[in-house]
Amino acid sequence: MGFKFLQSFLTFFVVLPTLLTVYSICASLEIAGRHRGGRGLLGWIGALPWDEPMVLVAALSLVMLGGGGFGGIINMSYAMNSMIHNTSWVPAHFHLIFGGAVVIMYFAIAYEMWPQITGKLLRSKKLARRQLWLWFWGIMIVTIPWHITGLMGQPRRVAVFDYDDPLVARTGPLVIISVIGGMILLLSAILLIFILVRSHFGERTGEIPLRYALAVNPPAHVPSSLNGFALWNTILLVLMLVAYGYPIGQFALLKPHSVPAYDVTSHSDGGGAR
Amino acid sequence: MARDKGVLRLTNPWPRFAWLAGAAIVGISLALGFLVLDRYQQNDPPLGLWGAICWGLGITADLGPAREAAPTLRTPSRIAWTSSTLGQIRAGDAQHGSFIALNCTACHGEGGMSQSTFIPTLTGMDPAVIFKQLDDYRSGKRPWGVMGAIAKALSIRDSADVAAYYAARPNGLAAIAHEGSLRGESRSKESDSARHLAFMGDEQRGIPPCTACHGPHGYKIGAPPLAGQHAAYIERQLAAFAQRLRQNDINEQMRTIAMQLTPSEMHALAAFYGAPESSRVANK
Amino acid sequence: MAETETNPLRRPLPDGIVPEGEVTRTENRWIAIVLGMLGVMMAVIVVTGVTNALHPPSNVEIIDPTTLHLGGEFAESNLGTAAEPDGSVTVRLIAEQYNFVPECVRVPADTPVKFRLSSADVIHGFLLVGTNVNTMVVPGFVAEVRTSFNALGDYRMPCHEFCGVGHQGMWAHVNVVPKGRFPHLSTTERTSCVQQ
Repeated sequence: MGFKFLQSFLTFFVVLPTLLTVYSICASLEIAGRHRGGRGLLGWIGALPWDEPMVLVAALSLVMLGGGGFGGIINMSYAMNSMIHNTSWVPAHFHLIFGGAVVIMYFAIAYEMWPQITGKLLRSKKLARRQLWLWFWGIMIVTIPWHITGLMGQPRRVAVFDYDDPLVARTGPLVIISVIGGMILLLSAILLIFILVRSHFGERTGEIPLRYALAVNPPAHVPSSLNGFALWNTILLVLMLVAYGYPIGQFALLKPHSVPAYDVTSHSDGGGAR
Repeated sequence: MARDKGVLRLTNPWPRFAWLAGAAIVGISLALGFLVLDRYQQNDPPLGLWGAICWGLGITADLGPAREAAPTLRTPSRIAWTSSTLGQIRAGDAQHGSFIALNCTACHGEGGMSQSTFIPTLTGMDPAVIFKQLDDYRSGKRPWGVMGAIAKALSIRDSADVAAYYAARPNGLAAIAHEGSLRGESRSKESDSARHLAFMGDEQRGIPPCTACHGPHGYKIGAPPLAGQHAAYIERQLAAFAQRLRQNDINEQMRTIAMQLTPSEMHALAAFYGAPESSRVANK
Repeated sequence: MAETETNPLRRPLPDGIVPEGEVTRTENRWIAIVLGMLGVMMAVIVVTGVTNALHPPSNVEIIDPTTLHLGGEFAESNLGTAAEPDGSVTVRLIAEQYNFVPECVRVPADTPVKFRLSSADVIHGFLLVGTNVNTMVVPGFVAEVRTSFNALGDYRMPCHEFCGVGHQGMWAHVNVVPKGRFPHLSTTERTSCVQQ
């Protein structure tokens, strides 16, 4: 248990860079909003260019990151994990984080970069926004019931469930809702391809130079240790050795019993073991 | 690049801070993990400091009152699938086995093709199965007078040889089953539920599919091929497992499953797997 | 200042933009909040770990998976629920492709229960739906989980780690009965709710 607490504690520190990233994104949006004339505590939010897919996605992505992040804290919480270990909570969590927060950002990047690369402008930003909203709701409808079935104890990695069983039947309606969410995601994905293809063969063209974001508050000094991976990879290596070295090395210390590997593909031709 | 110099040097403030923070996190969590959390066990008094550290390191196992196991009252079989057992089976000599097998023909038929529905066909049988069953007959774990006496006369080496002989015989169980399916034997309605059990199992009752161990979806060592075997023999063995008349399955594998089956399911499964009698006559 | 350098991109701020000092202050405040959150969460984990002994399963005990049935703790006659002298019960189970043995476990309510499992072949999973009982069953090792049940009834017990083609059929049950209805067992007796 000792090492599991260390692993749990170290994993907890994922929260720190994640929330600092959230801070940077929110602060950048606030600076941009105030620059565009937003005033007051929340006035800058309204001043943001919400018709830009990128701005919309930043907000949607943060919402999904929040939901998935809270779930992730449960995954890494030392003992709380045993409530949800290997249940459908886990695929729900990583679909929300990756399929939601990350992939929707790829879509926005596609809408941003495609015209810059090909010189063909998006036909309709409105349709692009619709596609992104569809993806957002699709992910939500897929993953929220999925999380709940996980809490109800539905194991992942099971191919077939017998919904005749009253104890399994409770999860049935939630699974159906998840499937509907999956359909919405499929629709949204088809729409993405449609938008890009239609824009590509459309007549709206324009030369957009490749733009890169520049900091409005460029740092005066960058300590070089914060500007490279050398230090952090070294620390990472040492931490991994400390946290996992003994638990894995234990297998070498223990006198293990061999587990015969059975040939599961055919009846044994005089032995069965490889 | 000039700026990469001294990145790892502890005289610089950032590396120093990073290393110190990392060391502090590791130190605090190891102390909490090994000295505090490890001491508290559910339903048991807290461990001492040394006990906690050793338990955390996996040096001592659980120290609770449950350590004493009751004496072993019975074992299902003397056979365990250790590498030495598997080596014995693999060393079987089919040539020598063919001479021993001459003694088996009276009941198990010419070349192991049994004509009696209550005696299993051995042709094309898995060698590990024959080897294990012979040893179970020998040790009395599978009580059956005739076979017990015969098996006692065979050495372990002989068992491996005869197992190798029958396993290598052509036109065995698989061929019988194949012929049966080629003839397009009409399957009755009740075999639909048997087919479902065989391929899907019934998770509500905790019955895994037969095909997962007996093939064709997967194979487990010690599980005989079923397709082509006599239906009456299969049904009888299922019933024997269910009634615990036969208890030589390692870790109660077949008893656990057979006890869940109803007699009609056993009949349907046996009919589903069993070789149709017509094809057997034709095969002769 | 050996490792710092001047950023060539530095240029005068546009009007109405928050100066760097202000940004640094809010950023530091945010880091403090985040670290505070981390501290609170870790404190909760440590406190519940101490007061309720909530731990991940961590037993390290080796056993030969191929000879479980030949004798010792996981011999056939020792499987099922055993009563301990201190009033608790110990449940011993084997997980094998594709069964738990015994496939129906009977335990008394409101009693400390210790599950001890071992695998006879591959990695299996052990989960009691609706409880915190959840562990992997690795061949060669004995998995141990402690719990006690306060709700009566039938708990489903799926294998939650893919163990082969028959995996989806590998379900068992735990039946929690009132303490009074649990049979009085001698030290060598074992019970389960498998219908004989």
